[in-house]
Amino acid sequence: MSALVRRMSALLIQPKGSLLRFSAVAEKSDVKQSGDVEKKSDKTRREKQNFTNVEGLKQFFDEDNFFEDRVRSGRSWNLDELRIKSNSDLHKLWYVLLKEKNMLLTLQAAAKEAVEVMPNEERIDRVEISMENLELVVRERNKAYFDLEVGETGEQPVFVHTNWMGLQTLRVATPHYLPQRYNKSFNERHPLPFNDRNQSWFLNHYREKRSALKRRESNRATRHVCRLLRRNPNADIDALRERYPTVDVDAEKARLHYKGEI
Amino acid sequence: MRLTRVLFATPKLPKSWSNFPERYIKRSMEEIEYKTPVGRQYRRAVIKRPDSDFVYGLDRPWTDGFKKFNEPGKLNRPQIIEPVPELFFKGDRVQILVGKDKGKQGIVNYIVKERNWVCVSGLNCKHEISKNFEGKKIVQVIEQPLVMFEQVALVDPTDERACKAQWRYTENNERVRISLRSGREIPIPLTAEETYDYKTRNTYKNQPKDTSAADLVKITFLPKLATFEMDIMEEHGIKDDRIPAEFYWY
Repeated sequence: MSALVRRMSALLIQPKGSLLRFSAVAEKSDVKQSGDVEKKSDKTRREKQNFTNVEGLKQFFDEDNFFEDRVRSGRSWNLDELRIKSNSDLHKLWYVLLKEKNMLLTLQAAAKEAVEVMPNEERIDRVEISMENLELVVRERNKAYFDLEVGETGEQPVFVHTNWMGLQTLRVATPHYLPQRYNKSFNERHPLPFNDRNQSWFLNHYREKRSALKRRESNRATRHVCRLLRRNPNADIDALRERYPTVDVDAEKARLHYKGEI
Repeated sequence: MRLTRVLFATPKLPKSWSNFPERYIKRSMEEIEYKTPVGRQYRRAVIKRPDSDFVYGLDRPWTDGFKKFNEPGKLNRPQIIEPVPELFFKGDRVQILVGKDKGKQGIVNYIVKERNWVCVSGLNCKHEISKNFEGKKIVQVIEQPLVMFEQVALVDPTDERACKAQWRYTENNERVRISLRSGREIPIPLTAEETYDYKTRNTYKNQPKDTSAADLVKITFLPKLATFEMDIMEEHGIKDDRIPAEFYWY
């Protein structure tokens, strides 16, 4: 931990070369000695040098827990907890979370550079989960407004799209000024399916392979259930049914019993 | 036992005890061989060890012990693990049904859900002889795991004998664990609630960056005929009368 702490504190005390400076006294005196009329470039340089927002920069670092190996933190925000908060509260909370995430990512990068273990890395996940939940709640509210006022969800529509190979995929629609039939560049990028002999050959073989994979997977599950039943004939049938929904557990058990294996 | 030995011993971390988000646990255990860089020009692809390849032992997935147990390139056969209802908790009194400690009762101190394993404190132990840094022989007593329902059973609190248990619902729609022999409830021990952050939920000490319980419950939402953006713009006095151009979704 010590190396990491040293590096982080060094970042605060002695920033590198010409990037950012907390005090610009020496530089100011240099400018005065030249005595000439201030040029534009000098003026801009001095503005850069006058950076004194040390407190703002410090917010990128976890000052309170500099020497801690373990940092305790609460859980992330639930959807239900966010739903009872007003819009302005959510707006403020978003920036609180964003600042915390920035701080944690700075710490993670510093730890990586110093080849040290970051204390409690799961804090990043907790903040990210909260931010995702907050975004969901905001979308929910906007969707309710658009459904009521406009009769649409107000979100990017998603539809089933048949691509040039004849395969069906989900595509998220994007807004365009031109209708699709006049948009030449878009239609060139998204050609229609061929619908010819080669394509039907390809699709037949593709579907055959896909169904074989599916069948193999279900057979594997059935064999697994049989293995479980042979090991323990009194296994919990309800739990098996719930865990392997594709397998007819009762039929398999009856079959094994008829064969005399259980 | 010496105090230093106790301090050097690594604590066992049941998954629920750690209080980690599921996403973090998954991220920390995955073994990525290659991942495409972030960018539009790359087709998103990840080459990694499949989840079914990992075998769970007594070490938890985010620890080094787990990584050692699942070394890269090690071939693991899929385990036959029976799906069972979640009936055992940390701190439960259980009776051992097999082995040299058959018939003895003890307290559960560790659970591995992925293998249906339970460790009972001070029972079903293996004695391992090893040498310490001075070259002296030392004996380590290691609790061995027992399979739920097959090798251990819950104890009925009324007659203190092994029993079968089940989840049932009370008249107040509360899910309780009952003994099938006497029909009495087997209460869930307080130690099951314990995590890395607190002993019990009520005794959790607020950290400086936590929201207080009173603020969390406060209802500040007022229904309003406006989107989120419209509400925020109104609050900050931002006016935007521009009419967006017509466009088509496709």
